[in-house]
Amino acid sequence: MPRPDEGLIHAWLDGQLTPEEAARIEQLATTDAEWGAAVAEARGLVAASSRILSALDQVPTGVIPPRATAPSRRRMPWWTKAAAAIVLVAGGSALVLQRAPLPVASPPRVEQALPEALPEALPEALPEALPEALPEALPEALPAAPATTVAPAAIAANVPRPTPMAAAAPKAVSPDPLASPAPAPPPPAETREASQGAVRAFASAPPTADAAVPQARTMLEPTDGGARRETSANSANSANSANSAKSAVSALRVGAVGLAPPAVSGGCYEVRAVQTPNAVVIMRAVRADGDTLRLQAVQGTSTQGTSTLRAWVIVHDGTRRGAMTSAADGSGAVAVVATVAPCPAP
Amino acid sequence: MSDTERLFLTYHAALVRYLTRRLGDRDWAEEIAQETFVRALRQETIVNERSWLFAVATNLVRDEARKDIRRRRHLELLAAEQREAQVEGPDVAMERTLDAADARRALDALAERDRQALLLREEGLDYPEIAEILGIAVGSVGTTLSRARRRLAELYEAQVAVRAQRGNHAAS
Repeated sequence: MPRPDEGLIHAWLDGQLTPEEAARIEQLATTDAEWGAAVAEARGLVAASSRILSALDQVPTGVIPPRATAPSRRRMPWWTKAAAAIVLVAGGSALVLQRAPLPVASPPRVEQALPEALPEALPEALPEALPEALPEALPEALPAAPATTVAPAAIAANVPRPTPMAAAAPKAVSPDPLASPAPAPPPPAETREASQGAVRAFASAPPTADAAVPQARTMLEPTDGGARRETSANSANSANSANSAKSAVSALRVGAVGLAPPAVSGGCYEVRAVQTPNAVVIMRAVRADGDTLRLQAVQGTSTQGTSTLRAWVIVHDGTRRGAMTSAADGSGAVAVVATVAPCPAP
Repeated sequence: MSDTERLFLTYHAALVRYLTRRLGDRDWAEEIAQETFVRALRQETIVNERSWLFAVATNLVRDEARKDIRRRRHLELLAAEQREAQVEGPDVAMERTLDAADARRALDALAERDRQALLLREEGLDYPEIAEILGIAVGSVGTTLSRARRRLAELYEAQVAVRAQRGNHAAS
């Protein structure tokens, strides 16, 4: 009588033996005590392993830290940046000097000047300039009009248009996705001011957004798969009208593009919808992808269903990470502004 | 119904479950599954669909797993946070959390081949399919599975015992 063969017994229990082999094992199991015990034990192991594995099916979602980041933005050589800065400074100075003798009744309003450039300029321009510019200089610098007249054109001309998302685009993998992105070099003064102006214009849509701007470190842009394409198309077609730009934005559902230097994975942000400024959601940064954060709601005090909002980051190459949930009422929260906030007590 | 729809409807749930068990994160599993189906659509001919899909998914996981030890540690921390935040009855939630944690540790402690064989078998793949995906002989799949199942059960029981012991210490 052969010794019980565990592999054979498991194959039999799994129904993977030929009829002849199966009949032989069955006979052994019924006639030999040792084989019978081995079969009983194997049955127990099969059942136990299934039960153990089924415990793994109840898993939370959205807890994975980044495994892939967008390809790093193409780095310009230093001399290119220097040349660009010089051109920008010279151009700005010339513009100011040219206009200096003319009587200026009132400086152009930022809100009027920026929207045409915003939808395309923000995603790329802000990550570079915001962290440096915002905390210290924004409140005082905002009323400075001349710089804001230069800014939109400068941003629009120098910032590449975001790539439309491809839903099934292969994902680039970063060797160290958790690493914080390298801090951006200080931008030229014009760019800093331009960015401040851009933030002001973007964030000032709701009455309460101004209060949030001085501490703003993260700007979330409304976008998702088709929405981003819609943004580009709409903004191109309605470049002359602030209202058109706003309506183009309002047609979109919320997504998220942010900047996170330094990447604060695990930090919390207070997220306000621009359209519904009273809706506040505390969101935890669960993933830092390069200069973007993926946020997940942990506590909502929403009045309009935005407590279900989950802002999934869309990285700057247009690749979407995961899915996106908009407001429960189906309205879509549209643009949101996030400010650093203390994490809610457990 | 198009081939694409049929492929998706037939295999998506099983593939996501397999990947979720393997990875511990549903979103990640969904992404890998999505990528797997995208590759399937690009493929002109697939002889055995199920085997092909699970093999590609397994390879995608393997490719990422090499880069991902650090991420998984981070994942465990974040997963723990998430579980703490869940709004279930405290006893049920706690029990489920601990059960899942024990299962996860036990599964992670298995050898890679054993783990894969176990998870693939749980999704109903037959021995030739498992052998093809893992690159082993069909005749050794039974042995691999018997070893994996025994080891998993032992590791899980050990985890439970450790937990019980800690509980007793805490109570006394």
